Amino acid sequence: MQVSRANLRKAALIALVGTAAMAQDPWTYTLKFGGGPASGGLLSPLGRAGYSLGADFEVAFRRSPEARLALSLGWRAFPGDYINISSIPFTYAATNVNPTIYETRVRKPEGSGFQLTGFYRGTLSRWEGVYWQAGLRLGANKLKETDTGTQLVTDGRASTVSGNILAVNAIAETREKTTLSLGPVAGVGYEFREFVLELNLWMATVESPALGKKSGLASELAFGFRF
Amino acid sequence: MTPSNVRALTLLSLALAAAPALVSQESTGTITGTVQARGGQPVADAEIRISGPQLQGVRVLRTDASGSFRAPLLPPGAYRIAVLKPGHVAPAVAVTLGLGQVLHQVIAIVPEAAATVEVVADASAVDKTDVKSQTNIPSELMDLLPRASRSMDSIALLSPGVTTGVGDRIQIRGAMTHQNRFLLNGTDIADNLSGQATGAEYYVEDNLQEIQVIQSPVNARYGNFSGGVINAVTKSGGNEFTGVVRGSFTRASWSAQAPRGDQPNTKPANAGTLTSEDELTRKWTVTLGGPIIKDRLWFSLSTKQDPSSLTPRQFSDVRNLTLGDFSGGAALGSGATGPVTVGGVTYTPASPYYSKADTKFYEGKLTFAINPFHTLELAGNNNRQDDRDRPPSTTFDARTLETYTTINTYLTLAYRGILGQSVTIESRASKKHNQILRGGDPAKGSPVRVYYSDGGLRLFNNAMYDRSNGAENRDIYTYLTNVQWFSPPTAWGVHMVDAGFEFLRHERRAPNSPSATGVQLIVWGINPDGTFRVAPRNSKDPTGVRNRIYLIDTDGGTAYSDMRSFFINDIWSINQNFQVSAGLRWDGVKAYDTLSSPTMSSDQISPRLQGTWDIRGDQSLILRTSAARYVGKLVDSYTNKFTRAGTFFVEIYNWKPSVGALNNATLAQISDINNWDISAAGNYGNQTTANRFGDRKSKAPYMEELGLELKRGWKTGSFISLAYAQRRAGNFFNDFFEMGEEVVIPLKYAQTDTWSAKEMWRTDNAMRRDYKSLEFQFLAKLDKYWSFGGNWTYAIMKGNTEGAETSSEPVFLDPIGNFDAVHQKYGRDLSYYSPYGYMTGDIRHRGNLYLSYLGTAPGGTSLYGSLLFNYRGGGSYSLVRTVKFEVPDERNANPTLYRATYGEFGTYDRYYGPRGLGRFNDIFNFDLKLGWEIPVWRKMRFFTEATVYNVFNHCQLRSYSTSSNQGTTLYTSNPLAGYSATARRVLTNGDVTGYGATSYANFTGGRSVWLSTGVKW
Repeated sequence: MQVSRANLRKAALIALVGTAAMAQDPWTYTLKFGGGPASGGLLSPLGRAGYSLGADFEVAFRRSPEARLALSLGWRAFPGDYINISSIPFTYAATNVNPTIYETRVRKPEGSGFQLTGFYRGTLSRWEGVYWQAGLRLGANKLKETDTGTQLVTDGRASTVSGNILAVNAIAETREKTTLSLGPVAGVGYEFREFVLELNLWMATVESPALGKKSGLASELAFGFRF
Repeated sequence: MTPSNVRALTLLSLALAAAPALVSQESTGTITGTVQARGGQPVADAEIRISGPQLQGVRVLRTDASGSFRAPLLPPGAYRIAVLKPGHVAPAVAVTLGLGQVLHQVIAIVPEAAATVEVVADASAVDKTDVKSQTNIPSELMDLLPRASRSMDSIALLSPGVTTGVGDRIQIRGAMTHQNRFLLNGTDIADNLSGQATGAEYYVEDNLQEIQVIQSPVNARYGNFSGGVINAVTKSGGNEFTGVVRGSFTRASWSAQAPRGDQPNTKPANAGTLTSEDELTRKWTVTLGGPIIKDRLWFSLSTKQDPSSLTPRQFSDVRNLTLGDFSGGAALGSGATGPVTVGGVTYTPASPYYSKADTKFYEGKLTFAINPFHTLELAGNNNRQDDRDRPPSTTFDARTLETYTTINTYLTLAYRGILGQSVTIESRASKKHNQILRGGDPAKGSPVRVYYSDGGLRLFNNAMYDRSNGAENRDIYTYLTNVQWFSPPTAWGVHMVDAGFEFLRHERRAPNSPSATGVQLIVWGINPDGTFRVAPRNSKDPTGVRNRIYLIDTDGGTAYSDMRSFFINDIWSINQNFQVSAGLRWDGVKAYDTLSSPTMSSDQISPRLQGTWDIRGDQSLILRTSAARYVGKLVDSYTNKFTRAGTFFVEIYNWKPSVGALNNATLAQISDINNWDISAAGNYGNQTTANRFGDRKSKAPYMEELGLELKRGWKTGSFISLAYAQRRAGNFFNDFFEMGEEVVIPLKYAQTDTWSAKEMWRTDNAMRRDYKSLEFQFLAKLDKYWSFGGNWTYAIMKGNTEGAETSSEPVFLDPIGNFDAVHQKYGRDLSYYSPYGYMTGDIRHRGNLYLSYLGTAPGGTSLYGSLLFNYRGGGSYSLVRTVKFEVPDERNANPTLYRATYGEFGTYDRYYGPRGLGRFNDIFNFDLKLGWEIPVWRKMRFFTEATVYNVFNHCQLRSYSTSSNQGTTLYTSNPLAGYSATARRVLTNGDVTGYGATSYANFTGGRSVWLSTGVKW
C-alpha cells in the first residue's frame, strides 16, 4: 500500500508538472517567461511597438551528457501601438463625386498566439551550466485590428456648402487573422541552481488583415524555474 | 517508531505545517515546527526558545510527544529559534515571519558526540503553507524598491490581481473600487464614502513594518469587502533603541519633460519659467523606537516635519471684462492696472499669491507584555494639515480665501492572549476619524457670486461653505474578537477553528452648507464702487439665471450604519497531504438617518470553502482550490443617499419684480430676503433629495469566486505560484426612474409644492460584472546578494455598466433602469445604451519585475539597489455619443398625465459597437534605486539614496484624444446622428487637435529624481 501510494503521488506529480522524483532523472521541466524587442516586418502591422512577451513550459530529455532534446509549449503576446490611418480635413473642396467619403480612423493592433518549439540543446564545455540551442518554432499567431472613428459621407460639394453631408457613420470594426508559421529559433542559456537564463532569436510571423503576412526577427531574454 | 506514532507525528506535523496563513490574525503570524532526531524520530520535551527584536521577551515552549511545537501571535519580523535538549546540539534557525503567515520548520538535533551537525532547518524562512492568494511586502523590500510612496494603494499595486479602475482607484480582482478593506494596525481606515485609503495620512513611511495584500481572504474571519484586504502594521519598537531621521528632496527641474505630441506649442507642467515653480521640495521624517521597560514595555514614535509648502496661485484676471448684465459698463476690476481699493477692501486682479500648507503629524505605539503570553497594544496618530489662503472658487477678493483643514486620526487598543496550549484570543477596539474643515466665517456675511461679461462667475465677500459648523466628519469604529482553538490530533486529523465577532459602525456628520450664513447670492454685476447690479427676469435674462438667491437648509445630525458579523471557520488537516477549510460568515447591516430612524437593513451569509493538496507531503508543491462568496459593505455613499448627512437642500428664487432693477444695490439690499420673490412664480429651481427613495431591503454587493492555485517552493526561499480566479458580482446598487412615477416636493420658503420624478434605489442583478484572471508570482533568490522577483497578471473584466463606479463619488447615477419603457417604445435595447463589453478596469496585462542587490563590504559599508520594471496594459474606451432622449417629449405630449418637467432627462449615451471596443497602448518603464550606508558611530549609520523614476526616460504614448463631436457646425444631429469623432485638424499655429491627436498629457512622464539622506540606528 505504501508503494502504491507513493506511485500514485508520483504519477499525479508528473501529470501536473512532470517533476522528476530522482536527481538523476533525465527528464527536466522548466517554466520560463520573458520578452524582448521585435524588428523587421513585424513593426509595420504592430504600429512600431516593437516587442513581444510571453511564457513557455518546457519538457527536456537528456540524451547524453552533452545533448538534450527539448519541447516547449508557450504563448506570446505582440502588443501593438495605435496607428493613425486617416483624418477628416478641416475644410475640403468640392470633388463633384457623389458620394465622397472622408474618414478619421485610428487602428489598434493586438497580436498573440501559441508557440510550439523544439530545440536541440548542446553544452558548451568551457563554461559549466552554459549551453547553446537551435530548433524550430511553430506559431499560431492571431492579429486583431480594431478600427474606431467616424466616416463622413458627403454629396461631393465643398465643406462650405450647407447641407452637403449625407451621413455620419461610426467606424467600429474588428478584424482578425490567424496564421500558422514555422520558423527557426536559436540561442544560448545558462543553468544555475534551480534557475535558467536564456537569450534567443526567432523568426515570428503575423498576418495583418490590412497588410497581409509580415515576418520579422524577435529576440527574447527569458528567465525560468526548473522543477 | 511504531506505525501509530508515525501516524500521530504525521497528522500533527500536517496540522501544524499545513495550517495556512488564513488563520493568522491581521497583525501577527505563527511559527510551527517539528524537532527530529537524525533518523527522523520525533524529539519530545525539547525546549524551544523563540526570540526576535520585535518580540517582548523570549517565547519558551516545549515540544509535545510528536516532537511538535506551535507559537502563535508573533509580531512579524526576524526570529531566531533555538532548541535545547540535554545531551544534544541543534543549529539555531533564523527565519523571517511575514504578516499573517504560518511558517513551519523541521529542526534536526544530534547527540553532542556526533562528528557533524546535520542542518535540516533552513537559514532563510520559506513560507510553504501560505498558498492562499496573498502578497507580503515587508519594510526591507520597500527599502529596496524604487517607489514614489509607501502609501497602501501604491504598494498594493506591486501585487498580482491589483490594478486601478475607474477614477484611478484601487481595484482587486475585478471588484468595485469602494469594496476593499484597508486596515492599519487592525483599524479600518478606509474613507466612509469612497472605500479607499492611501494610509499616508495615518503613518510615517519609515515606520511601516509590513503591508499585506490579500486578494482572496477565504477565511471567514475576513469580511465587509467584496474585493480584497490591504493590511498594514507599523513597527513596535524593541529592546534596543532604533530610529531613522530622513530628508527627501526633489525639484521640478530634475524631471525631464514629456514630448509635446501633436501640440508643440503647449507647455508641460514642469516647463514653467517662474522660479517659484522650481522650488526644492523637502520632506523630513523622524521615527524612534525602543524600550521603556526592557522586555515588557516598548514604544515607537514618528513624526513628519515638512516645511510649509507654498503653492503659487493667481487671482482671476478681469481687467478686460465688463459687467455681466450686457450693459457694457465698467465692472469692478475691469481696466485695472494695479490694485483697486473700494470701501477699505483692496482687490488685485491677475496678481500672483501663494497658498501655504503646513502639516503636523505625530504617531505612536505602546506594546506592553503583561507576561510572555498576554500582550496589550495601544497605537494612534494625529495628522493635521492646514492649507491657508486657498481659493474656494474663481476670485480676486482676498476675503474669500479660506483655510482648508484636514484632520486624520486613529486610535486602537488590542489584546492578544494565549490561553493555554490550544486556545488563543485576540480582541481589538479602534476608531478612525477624518474631518474636513473649510469655509467662511458667518460674521463676514453671505458669499456673493458675480457674473462678468465672459459668462464666468467670480466670488466676493466670503468663502463658500461654513467652517463654523464642523464641516465634514467621517468616523469608523471597529470592534473585533477572535478565538482560535486547536484540537488535539486524532485519527480523523486535526482541526483549527476560528470563531468570532466583528462590529463596525460608520458615522457621518456633514452639514456641508455651501454658505456660512445659509444664503448664497448670485448677481449680474459689481460696480467699481463696490455696489451690485440686480434685476428680475427680463429680456436679457428671461429665466432669471443671473440673479438668484440660494436659501440653504442643512442638517447637523449624524447618520450611521451598524454592521454586525459572526463567523466560524474550521481548517481540517486530514492527513499529511490533504486539508479542507470551511467557513461561514453572517453579515448584518442596519442603516439609520440623522434622526436615528432606520433606513435600510440587510443580512447575508457568505460561505467559504477551500481544499488543499500537498502533493509531495513536504509542502514544496501545493495545489489549492477554493469557492467563496465575499459580501461587501453597504457603504455610506449608498446609505447616506437617504439621509441628510452630506446633503443640503436648496431652494432658488429670482429677484422680486416689484423691487425692479437696482444698478447700485448695497450688500445689505441684496442680502435682504424680502427683496427676492419667494413664491412659486419666483422659484427658479430646487435641489433636494425628497424625491429619492431607497429599498429598505437593499442588499450589500457581493462577489462569488472560484479559484485554483499551484505553488512550488524551494528551501532557499525561492518560489513560484500560478493562480486562476474567476469572479462574478451581484447585488449592485441601481436607481430607477419611470415615466409617471412622481412625488410632491414641498417648498419650505415659498410654502407651496412642486413635482419631481421619483428616484428609486434598490439592488439590481440585471447589471453584470465578470472577472477572470491568471496571476503569476515568483521570487528567485539567485545568491545571498541578488534576488529576482515579481508578478504578472493577465485579466479580463467585462460588464454592462460601470454602475457605482462612474464618478469620483461611488454609487452615482448609472444608465440601466432609467426610463426603460421609453427605450423600448423607440425600439432600443441594452446594446444601444448599456452594452456588455470590456470595462474601464479591464487591464489585460499588468506586472512588476525587480532585480535587487543587498551587500555588505568589510568595514560595514552596505550597498543596495534595485531595478524595477513596471508594465501596464492599455485601458479600454467606448465609442459613445450623447443623443437626444425622448423623455421630455413624452412629458410635453402629455402635460396632464405628467406633472414633473423631466427636462433633466433629455439625453442618454448611445454606444457604437460593444463596450470597451477601443484600447490604448500598453506602457512600461524602468525605475532605479541605489543606496549606500556607512557606519558612523556605534550602531548609527549614515545613508544616502537616489531614486530615478523612468530611468531610461522612455516616454510612451499611453492614450490619445477620443473626444466625440456633436456640437460643431460641421455635423448635424438627427437624422444623421452617427458617432462623430472630432475631426483631426491642423490649426494655424501648427498644432493638431481632434480624434487621435496627442499632447504631452497623453505621454508617460519623463525621468524624475528623488534624493534621500539621513541617519539610522
